[in-house]
Amino acid sequence: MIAYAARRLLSAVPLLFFLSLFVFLLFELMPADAAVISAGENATPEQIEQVRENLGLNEPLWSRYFDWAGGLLHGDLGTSLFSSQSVTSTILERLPVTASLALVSMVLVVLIGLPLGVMAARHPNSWLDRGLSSFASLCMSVPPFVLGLLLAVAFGILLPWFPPTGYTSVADGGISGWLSSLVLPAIAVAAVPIAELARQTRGSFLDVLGADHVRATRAKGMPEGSVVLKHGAKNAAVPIVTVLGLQVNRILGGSVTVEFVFALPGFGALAVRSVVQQDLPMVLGIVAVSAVIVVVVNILTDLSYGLLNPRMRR
Amino acid sequence: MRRRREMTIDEASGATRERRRLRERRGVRQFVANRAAVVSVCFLLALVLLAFLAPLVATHDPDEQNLLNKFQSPSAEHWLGADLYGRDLFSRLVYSSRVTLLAMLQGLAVASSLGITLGLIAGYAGGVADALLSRVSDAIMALPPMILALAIAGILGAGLTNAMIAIGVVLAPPQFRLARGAAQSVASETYIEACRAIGCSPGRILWRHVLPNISSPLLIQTTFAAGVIVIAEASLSFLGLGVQPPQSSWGVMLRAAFDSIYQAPWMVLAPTVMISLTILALSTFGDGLRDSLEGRGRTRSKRRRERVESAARSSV
Amino acid sequence: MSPLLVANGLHKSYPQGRSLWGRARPAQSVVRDVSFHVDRGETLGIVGETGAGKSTVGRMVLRLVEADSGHVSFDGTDLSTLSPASLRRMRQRMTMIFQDPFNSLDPRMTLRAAVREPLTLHTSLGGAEKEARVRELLERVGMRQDHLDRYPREFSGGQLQRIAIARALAADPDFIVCDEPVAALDLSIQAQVLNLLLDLQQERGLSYLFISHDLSLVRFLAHRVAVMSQGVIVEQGTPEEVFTDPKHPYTRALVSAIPTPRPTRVSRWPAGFPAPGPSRPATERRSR
Repeated sequence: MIAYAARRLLSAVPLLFFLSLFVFLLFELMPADAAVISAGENATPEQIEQVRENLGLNEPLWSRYFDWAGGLLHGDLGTSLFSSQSVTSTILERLPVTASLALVSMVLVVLIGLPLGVMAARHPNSWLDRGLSSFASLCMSVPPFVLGLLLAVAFGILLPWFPPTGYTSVADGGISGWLSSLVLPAIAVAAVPIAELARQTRGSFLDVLGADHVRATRAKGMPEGSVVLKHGAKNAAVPIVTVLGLQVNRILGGSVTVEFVFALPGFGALAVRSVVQQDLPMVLGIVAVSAVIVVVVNILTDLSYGLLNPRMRR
Repeated sequence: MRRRREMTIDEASGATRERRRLRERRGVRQFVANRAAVVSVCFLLALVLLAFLAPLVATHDPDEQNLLNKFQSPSAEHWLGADLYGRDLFSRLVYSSRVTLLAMLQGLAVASSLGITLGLIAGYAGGVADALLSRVSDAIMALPPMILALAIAGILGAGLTNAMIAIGVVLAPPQFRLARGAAQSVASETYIEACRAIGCSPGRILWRHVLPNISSPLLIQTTFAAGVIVIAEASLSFLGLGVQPPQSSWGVMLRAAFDSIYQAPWMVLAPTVMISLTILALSTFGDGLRDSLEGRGRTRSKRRRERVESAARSSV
Repeated sequence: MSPLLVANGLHKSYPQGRSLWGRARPAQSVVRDVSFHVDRGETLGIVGETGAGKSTVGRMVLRLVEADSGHVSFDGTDLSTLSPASLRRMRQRMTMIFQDPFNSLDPRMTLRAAVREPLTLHTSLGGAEKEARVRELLERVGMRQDHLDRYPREFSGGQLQRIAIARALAADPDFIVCDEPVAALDLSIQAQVLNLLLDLQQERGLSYLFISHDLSLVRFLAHRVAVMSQGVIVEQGTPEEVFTDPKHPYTRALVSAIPTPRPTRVSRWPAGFPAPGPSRPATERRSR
């Protein structure tokens, strides 16, 4: 298992290297010019040239890449074009909000999606199963920010149960204040993943419960409940974990618009603001950090395969 | 004597031919029998019609302002009410369907022309080109699509076309992988070798022989991609990076509703319904297509893999 | 007159992949030092057991597979020196018919389009002339006019192989590699296809490289025979020489294994040569 984990970790190194190169070159190809943006609208050509020199943009491409990538390794992503704040510290300031949102969403996804899926699988083609399947299709058809708007209107404004905007940290409002500021956005972000997880769980359980060895245990007289838990759960786990891993990617994407709707000062809201301002180093840093998050989650997903199914440790 | 024997063989093959025809017709029948899929096709066709006939359907000029009607609730005059500037929301909704279709066309054009062309080349040629293109495709797929699309769209500058270039780049990798895989497997077929034997150029083989033979999976993939584009257009326009006001799109209308959420919360509803129905119709249509084009001979493990793949595919 | 096609010292080996440590395993050589020639209007038969390298030889002759070393010259032109474009032009004069008729036509092309394609590639005929050529060719191989707009899945194996022949003939070639062209067909259909190939040879002065595992078939068709085993040609000669007075022990064993109406004592199979088993069955028809 340790060898498997080490191999998996090592294999991420070239991917991360290539990703950093790709992202850097992508931004290099963009028509936006950091010097022009930074110098402001009324800058003279001389001023722009001065800014260009100060930002080190006259250096050759490869040396700028190595500067940037070297900084990336040390956790230094450069400086914002606007606030003269370091990109790293700005992102770190924002991450707890997004992490809270992701945490609450993930809890919702697992607590709602899994039981729904198992229930549907135990009674395939019942009214419950069909109802859940239609509900899942419906959930998947509403983009997260649209659901967020609906929730904000319904439970923030018409029925003022939760605050429709703003974030309350644990330090300011205690656990309950923190949670109530996150309930609506978390539901908005979690709806699609819940539907997807339920669908995947149903499918995996149906596949496993129909398999011969499971039917044999059932024939042996094992109670249905333990058949589902002992045999179903273990064998259905791998595809479920896969889909769960994919949801992190989705939550990160959904947070962009949802944080904007609920005015949560998180990573996604920062992304929107920086993009609108064309704050190139900040956007570059945001893309890089989200890439690292996704790669780490993928590694964790793969490692959990190894734990769940020793045959995967190849 | 020889002639006679021929006849019986012809007849025998005639029987199998008839069976095969029936099987093909079953694909169409299967689709038609899928009521949800038929309803979704009708909805999509109606949407296209709505876009073309927008001037006839709309009751008002979508951009005409009348401050007297500011935030008017739905009424006989304004079926869906009026917005901050007193513009008729129903007419804006109708005209917005044009933007949605245009967005789909642009986004799919970028995604498919990049993804399919490069995928065919990579899959057929292999070697360095394949390795390099596959790396790039993996890199794009490793990034959260919404963040990447946002970054590209934002730096290209706000506007529908730029937003769709961005989303096209993000959606190209699934098309690339599909085309590449299909080209790889088709390239090893005998009929492709037979085409080389009569002197077809690689370009002709890819365009005339490989592409038509992988058109069904590509079509299915494209349908799902169209759904993602609707979401992306709405999201980017909502954030102010897509369609620019005063031009109207469903995303722009949601933004307007968001900006006056305390004064007129009901404004959220109409664009929400349109967006959700369109996405629902596209995904139902895609499922129906997949069942009727590829439904035969799928094993359980293959279905399972498809589920995981479709979960990965539809992420924005 | 010089031979139409000369193959000289053809070699081919396939890499075996890499070992765990990234070192390349020794490549397995499938064809070693194969040389032969084909005269104009002649059929050279290549026989041998499955895996002897016959098909690889056939493909190397047309440069569908690149040889590791060795030369093929066609009508005085060294094929290995040709650019991809001039090689494609050369394919007007030399082409191939494959073993599996069910997979050798593009499933998305009608019969008309399939036979028309070589005309588009290699001639400058107008639309009506091409149409006339297509009809003439299909009639020649015994297909009906109302077949023109049908797809390959609607035909039987024998019909498909005749369509493949029409397609191969369309550009009016001089030389055709026939790779087990009837192995996938029913016995009753085999004779029809073989007769068609023979008739066409007489009409057009075609040269064939006829690859088969079936000795009696090669004996019936070929002017000269080359016997291959394990990637090497062990014996060449006229069918009479090879079949009535085999020199090489492998050939002798092969000939003695031809089923006869009254089997006599079976001689011992020579050591070091694979026994002729049942030939590889034709690829199963792909279910669509």
